[in-house]
Amino acid sequence: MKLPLYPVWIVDFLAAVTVILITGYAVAVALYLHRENREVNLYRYLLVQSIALFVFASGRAVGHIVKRILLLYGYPHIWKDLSPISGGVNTLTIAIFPLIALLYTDLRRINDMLLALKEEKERFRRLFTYKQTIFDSMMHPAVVIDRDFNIKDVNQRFLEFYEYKKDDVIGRKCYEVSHGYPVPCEQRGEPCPLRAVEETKKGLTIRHDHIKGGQKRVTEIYATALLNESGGFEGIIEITKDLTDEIKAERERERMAEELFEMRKHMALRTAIGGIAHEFNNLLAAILGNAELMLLKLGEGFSEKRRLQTIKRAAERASGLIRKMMIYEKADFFNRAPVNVNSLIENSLPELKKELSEDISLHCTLEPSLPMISADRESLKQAIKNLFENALYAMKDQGGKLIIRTYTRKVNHNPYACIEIKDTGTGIPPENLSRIFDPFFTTKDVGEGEGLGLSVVKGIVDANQGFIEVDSREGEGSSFHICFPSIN
Amino acid sequence: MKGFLKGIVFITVLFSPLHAFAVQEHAGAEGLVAHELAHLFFILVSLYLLFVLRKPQSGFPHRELRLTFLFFLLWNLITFSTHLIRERVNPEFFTGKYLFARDGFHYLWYAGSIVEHFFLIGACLMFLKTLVKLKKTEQHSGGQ
Repeated sequence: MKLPLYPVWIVDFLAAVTVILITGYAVAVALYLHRENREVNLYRYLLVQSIALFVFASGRAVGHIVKRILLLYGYPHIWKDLSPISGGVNTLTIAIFPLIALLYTDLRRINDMLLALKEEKERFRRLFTYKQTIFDSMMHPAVVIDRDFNIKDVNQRFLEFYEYKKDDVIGRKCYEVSHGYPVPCEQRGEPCPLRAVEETKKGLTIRHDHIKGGQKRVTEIYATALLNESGGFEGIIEITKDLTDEIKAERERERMAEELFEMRKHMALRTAIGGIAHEFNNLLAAILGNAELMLLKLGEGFSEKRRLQTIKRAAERASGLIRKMMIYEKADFFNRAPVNVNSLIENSLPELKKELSEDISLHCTLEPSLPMISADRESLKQAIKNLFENALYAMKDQGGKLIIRTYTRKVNHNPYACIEIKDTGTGIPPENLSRIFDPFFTTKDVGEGEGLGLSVVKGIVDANQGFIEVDSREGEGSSFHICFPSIN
Repeated sequence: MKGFLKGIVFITVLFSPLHAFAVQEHAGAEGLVAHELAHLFFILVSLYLLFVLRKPQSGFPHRELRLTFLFFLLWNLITFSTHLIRERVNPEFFTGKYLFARDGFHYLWYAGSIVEHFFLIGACLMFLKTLVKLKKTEQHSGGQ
């Protein structure tokens, strides 16, 4: 029977092409597996097997095609020479493929290894996720820095605190990100936690100023060493605690405690002074009344009359003193009414100017749009007078410039009308600043003052819901600001 | 010292003036025999692997690998037989584009020459499937 050979050739050709394509793809997949898992021997075997299969398939296909062509075109002698080579390669690859397959006959063991590897990967992944979660959920910013100052990792809090994206900080130098420096801190004479930990291999806590959004932040850093398996220094983990707000709050607490102390001190003083003043007032009323009666009864020529007048003057002076003490103690009896501070000052100026000596010049600047305040007009005049006299006293020896100025200040978004009385006198020593409003505190010479001037001012200001500030530099002068809430 | 003496003796024997029989000659039917031995080796290994892989391995494309070696086994059996049959077919019966079939061997050779390709393709496809499945497993475990 005559059997056509072309079906053999067609199948041979198509199968050869198909097998080349399949085995070529198999090589690509095996290569991927090997590259991804170089430590798995099975994948190395499979790669070699895939290559062997590809060589077998392509060698066989090329051999078959060349054979067909050579025989068809009448070159059997060439095929006779090539045939052993093609056959040899074919035989070799047919032997290699199963030979390698024998290497992984112990598939159970290899498979166990593969599974163990996967389990290890999974365990590592879980551990990594666990540690990353801890790292990210830390309350304070944390950063991992290598020994060359490169940032290797940061937690979520770090990104939130410094307002960065992770890609913006990873790989950058720590001194650039945290301090905005172009060089390491140690080159700027500042402590470097990385170098300090590298030397001791122990954790340390230091204070550092960091930069956040262009603003300086006071931070406390806890740095701990990152060591490799052999104990070699790899870098540090730095945990940063921002103390700026804490320090601010602490300062505010101290200020408030100081204010509270001052308030209590003045309250205690007022109670004591009030009691004494009332008692003395009664006694002085009796002394003055009787002295005046005796003066009326005694005719001219009595030598005792002069002594009685001395008693009366002393009692009057004491009475003036008591009045001042009572202002300090109980200023709330004042009649508060709307007051235009500018016109109050303008009206007071002629009287005040009388007290000026030639070597003191007065400058008065009044803000036209100054708001009205609610205060006791007379007591406010008294306060201005006291401050004016205080300024004059400070310049009594060397003369100088006295400035009266009014201005508006915003306090907690509310307008306050303020009066500044400034001199270029001797100034107040810093150690006295906290005591200047205490009753009977004076640096004046004996007989020149009772030490009640500024305490009366404070009493008046407090009674009118205002506040007083002092800015003084020894040898340069003092500036007193009294401010009252606006009624507008 | 003992090692050195042993080395001297070994080198002396190795390079002693004898007839050089080192290069073996290969001629005639040796090519076919070598090729058939390779097929036989492949058959034995395939059988062995089919036995070894009889129990499924979890997390491993066990079924695909078994099918790979089953196809390879069949392909090897057919090819092995076809090579032997080819030796019995008189080249004079091949006349260009035709084979003048005279007996059963001719038909067997004719059928074997066509069918063997399908088993080879099947084996290669299963081998590829094994690799693809392993790749998917790796990607799945790596991407978790």
